[in-house]
Amino acid sequence: MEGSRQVETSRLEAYWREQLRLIITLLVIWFAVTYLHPPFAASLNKIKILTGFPLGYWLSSQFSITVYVILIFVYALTMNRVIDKKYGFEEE
Amino acid sequence: MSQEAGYTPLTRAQLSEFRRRLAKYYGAFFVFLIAFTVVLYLFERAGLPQRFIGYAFIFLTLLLYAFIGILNFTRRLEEYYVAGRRVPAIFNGMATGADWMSAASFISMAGTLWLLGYDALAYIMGWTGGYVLLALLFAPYIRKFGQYTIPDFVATRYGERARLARFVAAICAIIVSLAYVTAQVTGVGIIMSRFFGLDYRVGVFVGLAGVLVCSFLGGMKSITWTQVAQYIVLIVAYLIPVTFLSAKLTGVPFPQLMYGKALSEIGQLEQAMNLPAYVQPFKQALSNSAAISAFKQIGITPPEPITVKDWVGTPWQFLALTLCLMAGTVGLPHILIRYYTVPSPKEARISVGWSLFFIWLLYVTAPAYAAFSRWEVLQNVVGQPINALPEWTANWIRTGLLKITDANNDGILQFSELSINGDIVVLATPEIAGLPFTIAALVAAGGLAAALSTADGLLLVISTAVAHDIYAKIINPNAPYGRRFLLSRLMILISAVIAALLAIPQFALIVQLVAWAFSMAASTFFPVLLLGIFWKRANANGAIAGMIGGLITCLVYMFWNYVDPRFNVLGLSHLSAGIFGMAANFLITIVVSLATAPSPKYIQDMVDQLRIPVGEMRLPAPGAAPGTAPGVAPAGQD
Repeated sequence: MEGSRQVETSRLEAYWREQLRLIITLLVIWFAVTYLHPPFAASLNKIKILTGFPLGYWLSSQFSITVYVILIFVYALTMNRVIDKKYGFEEE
Repeated sequence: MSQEAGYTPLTRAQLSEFRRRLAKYYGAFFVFLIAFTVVLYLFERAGLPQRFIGYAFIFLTLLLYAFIGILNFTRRLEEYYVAGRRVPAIFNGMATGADWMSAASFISMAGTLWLLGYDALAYIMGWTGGYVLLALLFAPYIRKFGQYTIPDFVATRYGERARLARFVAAICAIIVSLAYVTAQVTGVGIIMSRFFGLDYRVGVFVGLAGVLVCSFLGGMKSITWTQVAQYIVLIVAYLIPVTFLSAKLTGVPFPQLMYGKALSEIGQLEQAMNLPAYVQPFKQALSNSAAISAFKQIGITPPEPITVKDWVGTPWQFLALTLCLMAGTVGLPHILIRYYTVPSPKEARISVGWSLFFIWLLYVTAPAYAAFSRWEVLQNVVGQPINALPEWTANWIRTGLLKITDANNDGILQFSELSINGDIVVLATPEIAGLPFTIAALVAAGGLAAALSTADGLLLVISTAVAHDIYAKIINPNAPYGRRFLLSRLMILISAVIAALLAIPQFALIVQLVAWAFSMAASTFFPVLLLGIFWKRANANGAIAGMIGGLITCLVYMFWNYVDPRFNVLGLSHLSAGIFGMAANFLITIVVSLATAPSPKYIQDMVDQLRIPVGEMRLPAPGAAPGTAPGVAPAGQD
């Protein structure tokens, strides 16, 4: 009984660590696409892309927010389909 | 405890059957909306007066919302508070989209972009990026917790001082939501008066009736299913005009891609006219002009006008505002409670993705509105003889939203002689694109849907904070079921009337309050929820001190800077005061928690349970003997 509880506890700890690793990785990307480009927006604007967007403006108005949507789906699918399964937390 | 007696969750098969049925209903609703628009357009061509087309749109949509609201009448608390926890991820995504996007997103966002250019993109990034935090840090854990309100969570997680923690959280929820709902009611009144010629006050009360039919009878259950319909109305209404405008101006009906052309045309026109560049970042100086006009309106002696230009050209305000809006988004109770309504934590994760996708559709389009109408104005309005301006300008000059003065009497309109109210950008686009009035009426119906759906969600938060948190959990824990229910309904009615009364004088301060709501939410809920889930050592003393200290720090910076912008750190305005409140809250919560005893074992066990996406939560009564508190629910128990 005591032994199986310990196995259970270490499984939970491993699950939580893996969850945290995924969350932190995605938060680093979130941080990068949010905060790294605006300080240079004025210089980036000199570059034109697609139909004529100034790059700095485009990064904030389209690129970052599209990455946000992707990040959430990557998180949800990785958790639901990979990490939960690996640790046996699937729905019945 | 989280499940009401006799209320069983749906099985997976029932849920997917439910999802299919919903898809059919709302698919039919979408087709009906388009068909109705086409029919009205045909009537318009046949000569039906515009006034009737406008009324037809408003009354038909209100009738539909009322129909859905009444259909979802309920006597069960589990349905009244959390829609029975059976809302599929994708539909909860649409409901969250409508809940989130207010009159301000629908009408004013594009206008703000028109006026501020790059600097307004802080709103676009802040109000979307917050959902990443919501998905990764909050939504699945909040759903696993599975009670009814956000103060429920605060009171349980910080259970050593459950009543005080709940009280502070409930008061914070009420302050934030009341400011916000008043702005929605104001928005309804403005749309009604501008488009349908109703008196502003009559508009407010018609709108209020619209809110009440959706929320009074069925609570969260009615709200959810009307919000899905309202999302469909608002997104169709938002996308159609700008798509036609893009086709007219560039030949390609894909505004999100084609406004790049508008931006480069704007750049060339600006150079030719020696205007500051629209896409140039960080142009905003600090000023107290908002405080001056707000103070004058309520009869307080206004401060001397002060403008601080020291920080123009630095990115700090932009970065801080973005962070503040993100953290505020995650701390808004009416958004958080939407994730109680999905069937499981796994659905909650996916549901945030859908939520942001549906919000993204509007936010990625808003800058296109701004760019196309700026192009139109620079190309066809500025530099033209004043007596030969395009036809669409006449209507808006009449409403006072567009002001033109020939300051130098040369008969030609210069850019500086033009003054634009931002709201015009969305409202006038149908006319600029040469679309029939039917489309303009559809846009008004969309704005109304945006305002009503947000107001619904907020009213529910206020009413549950009073009826559930303060009355049933603090004042009278033995209150009979029927009385709790009655009080919930009564509170919706009362808070709706209070919001309407606050909206009648149209105080500029109210608009300001909404902008501040994000700072306040970031300073109160965000840190204590985050630490509550991710740091077991956080305790009740820390959280309560943190919420109070965070709110005070935020308010001090806010008001001081609002009145006297010379008081600032790195040029941050009162709009980003939440940065300081949030930092103070984190610091105080951590220091006080470490200085006092850790939370008892049963609370730490509860945090362990939160982190597992399956199984029901088992919440022990406080004071349960050590060892009897349930450990971790076994895998797969559902």
